[in-house]
Amino acid sequence: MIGRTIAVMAKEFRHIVRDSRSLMIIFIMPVVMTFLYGYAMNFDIKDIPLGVVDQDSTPASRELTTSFLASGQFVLAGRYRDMGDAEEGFSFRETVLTLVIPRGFSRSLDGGPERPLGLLVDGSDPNTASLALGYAQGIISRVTIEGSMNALSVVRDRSGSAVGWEGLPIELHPRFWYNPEQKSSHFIVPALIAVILMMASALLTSATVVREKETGTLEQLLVSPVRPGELIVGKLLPYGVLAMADGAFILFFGAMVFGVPIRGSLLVLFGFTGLYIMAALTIGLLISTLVDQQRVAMFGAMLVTVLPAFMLSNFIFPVKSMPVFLQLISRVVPATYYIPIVRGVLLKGVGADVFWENGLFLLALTVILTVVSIARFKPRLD
Amino acid sequence: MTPPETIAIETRELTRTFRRFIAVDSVSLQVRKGEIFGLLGANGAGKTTTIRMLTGLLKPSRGEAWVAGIPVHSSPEKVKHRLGYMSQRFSLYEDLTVAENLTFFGGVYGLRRPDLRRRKEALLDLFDLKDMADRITSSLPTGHRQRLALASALVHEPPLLFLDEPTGGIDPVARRTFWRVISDLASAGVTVMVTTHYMDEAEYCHRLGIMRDGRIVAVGSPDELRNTHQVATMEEVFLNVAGTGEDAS
Repeated sequence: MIGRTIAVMAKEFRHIVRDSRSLMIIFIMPVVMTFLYGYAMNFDIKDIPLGVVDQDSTPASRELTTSFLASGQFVLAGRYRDMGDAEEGFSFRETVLTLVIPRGFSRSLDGGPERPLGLLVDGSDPNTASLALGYAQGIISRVTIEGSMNALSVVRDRSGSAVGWEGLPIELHPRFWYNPEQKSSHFIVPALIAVILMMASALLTSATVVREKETGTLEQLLVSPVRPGELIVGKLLPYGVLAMADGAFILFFGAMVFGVPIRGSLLVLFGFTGLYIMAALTIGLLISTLVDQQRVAMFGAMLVTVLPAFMLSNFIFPVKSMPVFLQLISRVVPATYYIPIVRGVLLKGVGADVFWENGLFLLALTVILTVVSIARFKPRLD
Repeated sequence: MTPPETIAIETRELTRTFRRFIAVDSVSLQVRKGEIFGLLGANGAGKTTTIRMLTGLLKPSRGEAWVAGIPVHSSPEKVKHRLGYMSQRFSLYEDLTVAENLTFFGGVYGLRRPDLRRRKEALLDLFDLKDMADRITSSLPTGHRQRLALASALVHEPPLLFLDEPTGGIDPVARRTFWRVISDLASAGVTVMVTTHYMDEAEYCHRLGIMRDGRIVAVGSPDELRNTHQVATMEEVFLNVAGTGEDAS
């Protein structure tokens, strides 16, 4: 029994070595995908086109505008006389955010009547809008706090006695842990690795059984004493070794190109990655036992791995805000369990104790899919 | 009931239907040990389906099939060690070398390393493939492929051999060599069941079963068949019993 499994494994290794296509899936496609998605899926927003309606025209109002431009997050796209002009700026997509400084702004800083600032945002792209708004509010609170602190000190000078700390605004110094530079690539690339690994691994095995159906070699196997379990396991293990090497390659390549730190233990990372890869390989294998054409198998493998891994795994879109049936599907998507692991180990340096449940799920999925593949494998032609 | 020891293959009312099409219809026949039994018939007569049922590749719809004393209709797994099979279509791994194909099938049949080495040597010798041992199979000429396919089917020294149109597409000289090996195997006690639609090949068989529309319409040695039908050639026998015989050449 072991002997037959070994015979199948040895044969599969030879197929792998001689099949340039599978080697291409393994090494070239991940490089292309990492570059493509790693650079294209960038949520860092710089140089947001800013419109300014300065009705105050004082040193203070000019300073506020300058603060926006000095932040590096905004560039001046246009100055407008009034709101009507500003609206045209939106219509022609010149601006994403417009700052409206009302007459009397400068005086309000010195304790005059309150004159609220206006921020108009193009909400047709909600993500960019909320980011731009966030940046803008940060800048405004910094500037106005500085302004009112000046005001406070003026008050103190006049009265001659200390007003005390009462009314002194609180200053915020936010610190971002794990990704201090707030690079979206640090968030994207680990999850991207998960998607690529899933796709490459499933593609690899999706062809193995169906190829034998197409070439007729399956018939020769079926008359031999080899059992479905021996065949499935014998096919799974060589691809496991290959996909593991591929996994290491993709991890290091992605981390290197995008400067993603590897803060946690490599052993933990590879251990869980191995479980994830095995789950992906068994998905491909199951598809391979179900269909009759290689093309169908590869298409099927792409479909059931890439889309769910992208959409239903908390890669970008939070699953919690999806309809319940999509949430349920996401529960059986392996990437849902692996993405927290790969992000956690790379960025936070957390260990196996945090993820053992996720690992257990991946292991269970692998076992179940292997058993189903064996059961679905028909030992006869009919 | 288990057939007697001298009978290698026995079918009783063996039937296979595909939906409403009856591919094999109540076929009953006996093949003795060491016999070369030929199944003759036009395309679609049911030869391949019969062989597939006997090798456990297809489940019979009805009837029994006993191979080497094992009821294949109920426990197909048990017979697999004992039979060699060459399918109609070339079905070896084209991206492996000649030697690697033999190694793989040897491993699948559970041969231990020293036995495997000995068998590989012997088969490469027998089929004159020694110089080709390290060639990738896809680069072999058709005749050599056929020899390799037979060699692979023989790697575990099976007492029964099933050959489904083994000589399709190879030249007459290669065919004669091929049949010489088959005859030698039969002399050594191997039972051979072979399908063909070459009439000249029918002469190599000890006994023949002629099939038409899923049924066996005549059984006997080539001489017996010629005498019964009082004709000079197998071709005439075939035309007599198998009707049109349009695929027989």
